[in-house]
Amino acid sequence: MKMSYLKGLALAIDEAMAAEPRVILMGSRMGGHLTAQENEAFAGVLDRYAERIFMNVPIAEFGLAGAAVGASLAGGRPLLSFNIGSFMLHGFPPIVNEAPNVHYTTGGRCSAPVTYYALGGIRGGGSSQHSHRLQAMLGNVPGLQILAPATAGDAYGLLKWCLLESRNPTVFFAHTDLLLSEDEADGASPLLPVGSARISRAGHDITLIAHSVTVPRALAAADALAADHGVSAEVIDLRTLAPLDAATVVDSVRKTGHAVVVDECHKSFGVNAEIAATLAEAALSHLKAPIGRVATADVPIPYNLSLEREISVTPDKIVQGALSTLEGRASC
Amino acid sequence: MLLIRRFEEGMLRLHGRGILPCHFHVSIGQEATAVAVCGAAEEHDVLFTNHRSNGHLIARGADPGWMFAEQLGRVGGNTNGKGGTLHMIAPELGMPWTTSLVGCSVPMAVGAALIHKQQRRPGVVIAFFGDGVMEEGAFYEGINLAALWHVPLVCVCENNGVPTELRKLDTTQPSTFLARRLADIPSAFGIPCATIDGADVEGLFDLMTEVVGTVRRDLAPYFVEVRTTRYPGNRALWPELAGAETDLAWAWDEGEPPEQLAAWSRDSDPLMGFVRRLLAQGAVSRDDVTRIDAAIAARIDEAMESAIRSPQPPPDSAYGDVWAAREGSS
Repeated sequence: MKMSYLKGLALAIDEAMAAEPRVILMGSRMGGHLTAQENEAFAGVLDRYAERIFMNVPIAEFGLAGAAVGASLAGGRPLLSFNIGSFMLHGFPPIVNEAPNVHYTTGGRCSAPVTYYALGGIRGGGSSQHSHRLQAMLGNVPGLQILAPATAGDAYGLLKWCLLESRNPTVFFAHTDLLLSEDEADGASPLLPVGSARISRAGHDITLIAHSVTVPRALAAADALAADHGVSAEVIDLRTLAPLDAATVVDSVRKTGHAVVVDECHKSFGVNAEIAATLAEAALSHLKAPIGRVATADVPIPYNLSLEREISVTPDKIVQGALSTLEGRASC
Repeated sequence: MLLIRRFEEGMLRLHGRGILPCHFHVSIGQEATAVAVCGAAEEHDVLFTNHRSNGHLIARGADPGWMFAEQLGRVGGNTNGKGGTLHMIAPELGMPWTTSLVGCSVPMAVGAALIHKQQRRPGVVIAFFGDGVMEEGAFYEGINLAALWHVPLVCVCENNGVPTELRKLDTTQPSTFLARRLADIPSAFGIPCATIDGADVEGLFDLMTEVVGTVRRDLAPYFVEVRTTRYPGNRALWPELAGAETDLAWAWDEGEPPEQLAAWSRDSDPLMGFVRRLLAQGAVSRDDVTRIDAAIAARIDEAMESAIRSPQPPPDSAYGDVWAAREGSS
């Protein structure tokens, strides 16, 4: 059935809490400013599991992130929500320097299966302190799973998998601009394990590699490339960044010979840089042109909406990036 | 106080016109704190405000014209469209950086105060923050450093969630913070504390004058909890007008505030209380009040319309300001 991304999240939590009494929900709300839609999506869930819900919390990111690690070490399966993902930066000591180290540092004897939910990204007027996309920073942390699904079905499947089956710490990135997007998803459908990308649209001239909010933008760009330029673009939705499904990306680029990485992180040291490096290592001889990168400009996010749009990833910029790459020029 | 009130009612109007780029915050009902603190401060003092900054800026002397432009992200604001509502700054007024991160202002203010002391500068540092800051760990690390280093820091905690009947007391117990008296916490670090009713602007001014003077003299931190009662329209992210804009004629019983505003206006609004007291003392007449209000309203209207007419910054400017030039260059 058709459902929104928000509903996919709510359904995953509902079903995971029903199936597994060790799942607890902590932190703040999950829907950003979309209070009414969030209330509708979560109707009944918070009441049903009231004794396992800890959402009237102080403003204490470090404390909550640490408590979530402790809860996971003691046998709980906590989900800690950051309604403003940028504020996860205040919880970095436990998120970066505790949870991902536990399994390795204990020689595999213990693990910290905690899931952090972060509503992140450039959201309109958030300025520099409310618009962070932390997936690239966190991608440099071994032992941390990073999920950034683009569709309701994937959000549902990945979140439920984290809550029920993962034994590793996970950061799950949602995006304000995705929460109301709808697609097909089914409750009680198979869980979706991490580490598997999806080919969202098949094509043969060029591969657009996207994740999270850049997936619908890359799909819009692929439509425009086909309609206006006769270009057949393949769009890959990475879905999970760590572990990364490099094989799907490399196979596609070996087929098309052209690659543009589309990423809402900043260009320097972004997710795009890791994908480009992966392709340089594994598919260089198949590339007919330099790899293109369409990413957020290397500036803090400005407040003014026209300036924000100027530095953001848009379908138009993806089209231009793809055309430049097909012409053998650097894309930006 | 009236200029702050009319400015923030202007913000609610801009919101009504759908032209604010982001959720925003108002300090309606907290104006007395801004006025008293900034009245007690001196020119060379440094102030750290927060996401709820309009009152602090106006009381410090900021011009509503650039402030509206800044709120709209337009040319004519103070940041070339970069900062906006969460980062209102005025370096020329000793307000160099405004964080929107709850808790972060306190350690920054401690460091600024350390420099003031170490360089023997005359100014003290004043940090405004809400009660939510005391839920953050950074607050505790900050006040410990302040006490350890004996720095000239005035902590102004604006507790805006106090029920009317508790405002003159010093205890509260919100659902997410279980210390019964906020002042107990800095007290445990040896920091002197005061607690005051935020609707009492005269009392606030006397207290802040004494506190700022003490900090300036002793070069040691001080903590003040100002207890205010939340304006009924002050919801979390998108404040709204509760009933109607303030009508000062309510002070002489000409017309009634709308129902949802009546109790707050009568018992908790520092502005209306001050106007009533001034009238009772004979310090001002009704005509004086009306005339001053009309002048302020005209100033605000002009500032707001001018900001709305102000252009968007050019797209290329998005790429500027990332790096500062080296020392000594212009």
